[in-house]
Amino acid sequence: MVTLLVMSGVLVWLDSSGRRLVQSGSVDRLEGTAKGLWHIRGSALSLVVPVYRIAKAPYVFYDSMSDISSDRQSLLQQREHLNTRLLHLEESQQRILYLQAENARLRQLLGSKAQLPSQATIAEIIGVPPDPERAAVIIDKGQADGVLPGHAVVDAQGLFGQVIDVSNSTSWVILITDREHAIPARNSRTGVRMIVGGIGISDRLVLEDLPASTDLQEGDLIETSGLGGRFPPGYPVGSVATVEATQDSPYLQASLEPTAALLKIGHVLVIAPAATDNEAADFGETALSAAKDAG
Amino acid sequence: MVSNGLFMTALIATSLVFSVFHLPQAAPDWLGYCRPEWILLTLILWVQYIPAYRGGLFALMFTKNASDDGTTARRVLVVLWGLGFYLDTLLGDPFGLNGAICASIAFYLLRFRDRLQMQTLLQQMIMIFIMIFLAEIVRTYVRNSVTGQPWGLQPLAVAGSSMLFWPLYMLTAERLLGGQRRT
Repeated sequence: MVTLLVMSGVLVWLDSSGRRLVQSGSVDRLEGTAKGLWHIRGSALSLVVPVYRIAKAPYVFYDSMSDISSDRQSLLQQREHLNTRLLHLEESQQRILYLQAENARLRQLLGSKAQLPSQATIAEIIGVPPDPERAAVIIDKGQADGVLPGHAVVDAQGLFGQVIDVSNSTSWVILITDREHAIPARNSRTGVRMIVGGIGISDRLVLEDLPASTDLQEGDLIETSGLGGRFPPGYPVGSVATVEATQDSPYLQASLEPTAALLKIGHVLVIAPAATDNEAADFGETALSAAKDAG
Repeated sequence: MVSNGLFMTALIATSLVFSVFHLPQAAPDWLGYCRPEWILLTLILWVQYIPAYRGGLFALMFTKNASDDGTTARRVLVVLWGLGFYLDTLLGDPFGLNGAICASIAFYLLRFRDRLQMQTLLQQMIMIFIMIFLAEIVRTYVRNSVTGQPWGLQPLAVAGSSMLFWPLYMLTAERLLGGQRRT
């Protein structure tokens, strides 16, 4: 028994130090036993997926039943709504392609380093770890799909989290509301840089160490700044919910409401890190030709 | 009455699923802290109260004679420690944590098995509260050291809910197995 406990202690220590490296995006620095444990965890992650799928089954069943019981009228209304939305999105897409191309060329002229996401992978959330102290989900894409620790994850509304562990076919994603998580961000209205941190509450984020003199208003949209290279710039993180300045503190007490639907179970996009300059230039040319083609 | 091996396999699988089953969005956040430790309850039920139900895969862990020289206990501890790796991955804990918890609880139960067999239901509930509370303290300590997870009332809430679920859990299991406890 003592032997087992000693072995457990050593394993916990080795695995913890290895996981810290992986979560900081330094997989290459893993070596020896820690690297072996990381590979074992990757393989074992595939084995636990069936358990998560079964645990999710009642919700999937409920959704299916809701779809089946939808009447014809509501489906037609839904289709109408989606068609209208598609038209709006296509119109926006055409403008975005043109602006992206213009942006890339202007950056080239200025010699500024361009940062554009190189690829996005659609993934489905297949499990939610039960511990209320940890905000995380498991998605159905892994190393085989090009997903690696450190990749950003977004949903239709904004930044969702980042990949911290991968197996061949699944990944563990930490949400932006987790206590361990922080994001380099900026105010889209003023451009002021800031750090957004999670506090373990599903609908709340905080702005850390923001001087009391900062221009910040309720309703301001906070987006990723792209600093650090982990998250592509421009993705919405949240809108300012409360701002409070007290006389006894040099910092603002401000909180955000996340824009992403963090509690919903559906699909997300995994974004690979920013492209290199050449790739960005190529992307600009491609976007420009696509914009021309589109009219 | 169901087959022993099949029953234990189903019970373990169910406890794994219950361990990761997430609550509906409408459920209050505090309810998440009151999730019973299904896996440890199953472990206690199996090792202490119905050790005769060890068909199927579980037969591999036991020698023919239950009152042997400790080989059975050692095999149980090693197998449970190994199964802890699966739990570590399932729950996102560092490798070794759940193995140590499961093996420690099984060691205590096997060591004092004869004495524990005579306990009343209330005594069992108190024992379960203490064991799971200590297990949760260890778990929270490790998570606190590794991921900075703060200390809170979770160990107390988990131990309390596990204690309250125990009578229902054990009696249901006994009924499914034919209405009597076997040792």
